Amino acid sequence: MSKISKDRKYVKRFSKPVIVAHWVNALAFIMLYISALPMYTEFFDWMYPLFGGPEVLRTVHRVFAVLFILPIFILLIFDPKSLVAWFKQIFSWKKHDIQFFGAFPKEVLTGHADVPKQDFLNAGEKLNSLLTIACALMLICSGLVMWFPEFFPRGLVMYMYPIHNIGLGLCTAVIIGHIYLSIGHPNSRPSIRGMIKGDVDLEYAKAHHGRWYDELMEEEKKSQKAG
Amino acid sequence: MATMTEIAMLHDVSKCTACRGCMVACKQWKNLPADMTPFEGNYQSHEDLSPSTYNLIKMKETYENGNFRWDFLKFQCMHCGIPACAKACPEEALVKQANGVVSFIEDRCVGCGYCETNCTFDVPRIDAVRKKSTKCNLCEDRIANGMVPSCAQTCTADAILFGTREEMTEIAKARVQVLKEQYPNAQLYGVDKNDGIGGTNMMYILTDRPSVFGLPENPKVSTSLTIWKDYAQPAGKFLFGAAAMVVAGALVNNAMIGKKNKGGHDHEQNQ
Ligand code: HEM
Ligand code: HEM
Repeated sequence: MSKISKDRKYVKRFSKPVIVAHWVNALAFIMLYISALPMYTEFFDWMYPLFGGPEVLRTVHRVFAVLFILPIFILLIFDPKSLVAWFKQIFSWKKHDIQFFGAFPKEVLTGHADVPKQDFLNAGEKLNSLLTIACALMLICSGLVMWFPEFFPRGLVMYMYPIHNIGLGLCTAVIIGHIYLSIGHPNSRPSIRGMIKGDVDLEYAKAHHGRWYDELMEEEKKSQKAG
Repeated sequence: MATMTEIAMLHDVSKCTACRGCMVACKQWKNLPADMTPFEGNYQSHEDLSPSTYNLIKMKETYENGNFRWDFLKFQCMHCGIPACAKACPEEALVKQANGVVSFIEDRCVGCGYCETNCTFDVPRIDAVRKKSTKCNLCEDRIANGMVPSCAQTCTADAILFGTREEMTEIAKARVQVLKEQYPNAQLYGVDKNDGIGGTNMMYILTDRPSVFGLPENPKVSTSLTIWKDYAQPAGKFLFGAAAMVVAGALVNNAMIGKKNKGGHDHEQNQ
């Protein structure tokens, strides 16, 4: 089955499980973040009543922590192929990936730059994925130890708090950037369709993910020959 | 006012008879119930501090060079010069007062347990039922009214003294000189304000090294807490601010490009 729609307008980008996993993850993240604020500093203490008190808030944080961990299992069970492909992508760094960062600031600022052709994920998205995974690992591992301190030595538990905090600081910057680039910046806005409907504008794919587009065309040719 | 000058409590372990009157006096003034514990085969009444036991006479049994000996220690909140609990508390429920007391403001406490995890001396205990931390506050209500803490008031052996930190330091220094003749390792604990926790307002005259009494030899605010509160948290706040500014700037910039070109997104190299 071709990934490209019959009218040659759209191309399939993300599978249903990937989309579900992304949004469960995103929702959990945002709720974790909001519930973390009053725990983070007194400045946000006014939020406690909104959650029904400090105790409920801590339970909310734990519930969304479970939701935050869930997506990886959704992918493992329902779409391991996409998961493997994602890992392969984000660890593949070539010349065009490095060059991306040279052109990127101009692209963001002016909306036009000579960016070398990009893979299925552009270098920025690869970096975003890596940083997101690193932060998530930090937050999840430290969070689990903080959740169940009775199974760990006290010295270790004590170190999990700064690690949780560093994870939080890093991911703040990463996620704000990510959300901005996916809904805030005019040029990448078409990408949001990919995370909702699963397909993106073929023209957009050609312009933003040239190497992926070329691969798609190759595949088309082959399947046409075979069929 | 007496409360403005720095105060201190002093436990002279050489005078303590472990009568545990101070434990009872503490419970009485604080209205705390008795902890019913099984007999564990030793003389110490309770295993450890608890949400209803803020003050515990520890009785360490030592067998050394063919001699048996007991070492007593009045164990409770140390009222540190640099209290790790107050640093860890996200609610400012623990506050170091000018008179030296680390007071506990229960209304602010949310029972998170960060004080318990981070205390240099492992003192605070979370009351799991009420979801509140608990610890000695040196009877600050009594101090404010010109009285001495109930434990010091009740001590029959003059082993618990209370007064200005200056007085207590003088008494302690004189006493340790005398003790040194019999106990070569006799020393003061918490008196030196240059130690890792800025000295304590619960001070001790010890007959031996601190570790013999279960006290850390070099007390300090843990490295993990310092990383957490002095580096990670400010850095996180800074990043949050910086990221927000970048987005704000970017949105302004968007508006500007938006005017220059409508749509069109072919900007990868055409080849
Ligand atoms: C309102 C919030 C969010 C929006 C609108 C959003 C949007 C998107 C979109 C459109 C993509 C696909 C980009 C592409 O076509 O390649 C994407 C990918 C991704 N998202 Fe999100 N996302 C949001 C929140 C999050 C959060 C909170 C996380 C992580 C905790 C996250 C992690 C990722 C990752 C790892 C990818 C794949 C790599 C990439 O494309 O950058 N997203 N997101
Ligand atoms: C977006 C992700 C997350 C953010 C922003 C976040 C943030 C925070 C913050 C600010 C605190 C308060 C402690 C401190 O000041 O360092 C906290 C506590 C905690 N977090 Fe998270 N966290 C996240 C994810 C997780 C995850 C994935 C888990 C579990 C697997 C978790 C488990 C916990 C636990 C158990 C606590 C202790 C709560 C308590 O005081 O009872 N967190 N988190």
